[in-house]
Amino acid sequence: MSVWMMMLACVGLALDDFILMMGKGATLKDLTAEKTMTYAGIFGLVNMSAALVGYLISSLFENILMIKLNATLCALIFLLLGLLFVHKAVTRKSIEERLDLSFNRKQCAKIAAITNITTLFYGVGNGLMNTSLLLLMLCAFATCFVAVLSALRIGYSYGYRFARGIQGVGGALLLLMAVNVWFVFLR
Amino acid sequence: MEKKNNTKVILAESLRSLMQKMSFQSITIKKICDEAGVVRVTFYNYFVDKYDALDYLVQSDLADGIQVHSADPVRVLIEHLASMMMNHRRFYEVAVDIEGQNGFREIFIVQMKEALQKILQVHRKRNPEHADLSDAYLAETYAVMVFYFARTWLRTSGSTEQNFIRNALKMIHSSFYDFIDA
Repeated sequence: MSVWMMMLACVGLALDDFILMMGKGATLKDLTAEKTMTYAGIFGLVNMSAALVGYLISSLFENILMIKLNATLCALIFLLLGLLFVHKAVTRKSIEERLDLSFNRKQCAKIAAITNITTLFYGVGNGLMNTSLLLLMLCAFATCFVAVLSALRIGYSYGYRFARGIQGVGGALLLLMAVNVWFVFLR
Repeated sequence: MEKKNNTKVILAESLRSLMQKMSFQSITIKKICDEAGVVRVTFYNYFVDKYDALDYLVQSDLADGIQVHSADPVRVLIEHLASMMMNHRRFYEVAVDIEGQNGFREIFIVQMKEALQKILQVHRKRNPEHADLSDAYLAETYAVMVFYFARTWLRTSGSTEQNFIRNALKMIHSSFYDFIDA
């Protein structure tokens, strides 16, 4: 899997975090630069950890499965993630913009852990394809950090917007990844 | 302090202005702030959400109608309510359809109940037969009645202010037995 394809997939996954945190930004009152960086950092670290855990989980199967089966599983994971995101885009409802005074680092970490379960599966897919772990972790951190950072500021200044379209793009990117894996490794 | 209160009023009136052009559901905090000419985050210095701003509008509108020490405070309240509904008819026509946990019905009844309770606290007749009917209970019962009356009036085209006052007072003065043959 090329670096660019990996980055694209990470961007696709990070768009889910983007939408969630754009909604959160729309409900915050005093979002300082320090808080923005902290929340983005938490999400980045959790995302990176999820990718790592997924990668390590895949190593349980690498001696058992053949390469083609690995690629098939990987393509299937990307396909399912892509379909999940597209489904979320179609069924997504708008949020009620209501001031949230209780949001803090602990809540942020909790939300990040739940949202980034999809990255764990993505990590499994990458592990099955024997991509570079370091590159995967860097991509996972960087894309998520940038996505959450910009989402918080956009939500804070402009409110909750274009969520459906953005989620749809995320789903499309993951479906593209599934097609890419199929073309490169399975055809 | 005065500037803060002005900003709060401007934000609330911006919501009122927007409700006369679009549905309540489609109004976002950004739109309210754009209409008011302030940055988005300013909204949260005054209100928790748009329902909070709606609540403030109803409370402010009703405030001048609560004159507990006048000779007939109920008439004053009803006349004020009629005038307020007439002056902001389009706003209240849209507002009355806002449903849900924080819907307009709940907001209106709470504010009307408070107003009626203040009147009862000053003017209530001490009748042992009605001792088990608390001020709060009575106020809420009549507040609900006034809400449904106001809603019907708003949904009836051509209804006038005089018609509102006359029929609202008639309903408040009457008992159900006045309308049936029993």
